[in-house]
Amino acid sequence: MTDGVPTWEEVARDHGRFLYSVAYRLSGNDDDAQDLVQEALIRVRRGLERYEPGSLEGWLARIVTNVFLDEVRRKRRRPTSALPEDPEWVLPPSPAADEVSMGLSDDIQAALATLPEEFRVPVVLCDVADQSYEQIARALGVPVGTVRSRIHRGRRLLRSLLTEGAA
Amino acid sequence: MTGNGMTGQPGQWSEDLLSAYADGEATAEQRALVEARIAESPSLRAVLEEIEAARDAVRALPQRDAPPEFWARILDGTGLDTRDVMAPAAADAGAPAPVVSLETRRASRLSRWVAVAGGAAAAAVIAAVVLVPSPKQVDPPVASFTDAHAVRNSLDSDAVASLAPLALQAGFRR
Repeated sequence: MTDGVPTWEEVARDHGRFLYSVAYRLSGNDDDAQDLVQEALIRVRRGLERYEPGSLEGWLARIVTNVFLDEVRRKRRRPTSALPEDPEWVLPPSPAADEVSMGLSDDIQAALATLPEEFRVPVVLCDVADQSYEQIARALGVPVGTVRSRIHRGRRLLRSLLTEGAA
Repeated sequence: MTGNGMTGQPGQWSEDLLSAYADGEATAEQRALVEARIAESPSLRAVLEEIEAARDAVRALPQRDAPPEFWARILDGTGLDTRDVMAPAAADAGAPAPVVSLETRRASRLSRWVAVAGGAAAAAVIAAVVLVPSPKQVDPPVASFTDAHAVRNSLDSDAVASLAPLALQAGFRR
């Protein structure tokens, strides 16, 4: 580390798990999380020269979130798979098949994956990446009040989903 | 977001202040407002408890580890091996700890990891022993992807507002 700026190896070594966890909670499955982390590390490598020492995990969370949102937009512009005929295609994905069974964690992850990105992203940044509302607002380019509202609505929806699932 | 108690001007009540209150993100004025409201409204207190439960549930999710093969691929040529990144428990499958050269382990600061086992550990051994790189070399294979991916600036505008009408959860796999 030079002048508070980590090397790429230090980022991968010390923050790789953090990056992966955020990516996994955003995307909901390992395959997508791996793609996100790979792309995020490419951007980290490019961006380290411009990194200003501060909240490294905040910076990393912002990068992986941007990668995630870019992928969502890209998929919307150019879907790669035809919509299935089954009308249930709009149902949220089931928990990742490769997720090791962890009981309640599976239910929570499934509910989290069900949240629209609009709510899931700020909830993950707040409760998984441990970012402040101000940091989330900067990362998403929205006012703090918007972050507060989305986090709150996301949590209410999450609670509702978990309650329904338990019923 | 109207008609839902979810928005408000500074100093005015809005329900989303409950989350800010729960997160320690409310101002003193907002805290007083929330406390006054929940003192007189059992239903609001119930909402506060619900969102705290939802928050705690997400915060309690375990940190997720990538498969060791993923890190082996990413770290190829960096002087690090998968155990530098992964939690020891992630590869705990009951087999003996792998044999890794001390030199490699010192170079990549592995001494803090004590026991890694199982199939994941086997991949770690491959990464550590077979790849044996210069510790300072930075040439991960991810660089080969850089030409195919332009850096995209996502912060010029509200990054998520346009995503609201999500109906289909599409995977990213190409």
